[in-house]
Amino acid sequence: MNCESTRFGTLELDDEHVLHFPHGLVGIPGQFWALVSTGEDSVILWLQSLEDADLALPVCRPQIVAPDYKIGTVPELQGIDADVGEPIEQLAVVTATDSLADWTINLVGPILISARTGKGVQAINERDGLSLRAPMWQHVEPSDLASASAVEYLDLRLVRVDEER
Amino acid sequence: MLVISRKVDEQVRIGDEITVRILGVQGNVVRIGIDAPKSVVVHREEVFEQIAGANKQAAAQAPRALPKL
Repeated sequence: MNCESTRFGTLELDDEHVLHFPHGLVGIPGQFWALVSTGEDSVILWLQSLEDADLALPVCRPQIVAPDYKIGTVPELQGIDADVGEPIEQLAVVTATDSLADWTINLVGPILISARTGKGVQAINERDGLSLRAPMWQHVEPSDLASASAVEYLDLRLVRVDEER
Repeated sequence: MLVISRKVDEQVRIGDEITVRILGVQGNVVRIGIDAPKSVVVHREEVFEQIAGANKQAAAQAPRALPKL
């Protein structure tokens, strides 16, 4: 199926590319999303709504910028029929502004996606000391990201586009 | 909205599997204990509102294209 997006034009999607969030994201409507990669080396991905062409959130594996980041027990996983033992991709929403130095990452509301089912949920990580707007470059420099990989488990579900329009 | 008065140590049952017990009251702070299956997600309301706010901000501020890092 094809899906229009403001940033990437027409996305050509196979079934495995369609990610289903039965409960949506917190405060944002829409159950169907795709994870878009704009280049081989980009560790920042876009979670693109398949229901609103304009709506896309930059996301990144939280461990890339916060190496000690851990998610504890996650009751939300049961809501997507997933189990803690199976490969679950963890992503965090990045607030990207024009000034790279001001980017922040939400470590309190990680997005979890089952590689097996393609179902996702936004969980709440109640560990102490986590920030909704953690500075992105507290532990790493932008140049450090070149050697990181964008996803751990969801490679086959990534929608690859050459670049943003 | 259903409004019920409860004393300390009294409970409310919601459906078959969820109970809410009033553990104590001190001034304007009420401590409640919630027993629910693991599949039921329980968080403080303001945490949801904060995450909703952060999501909306990230969506509103997302640029057309990201800089090359």
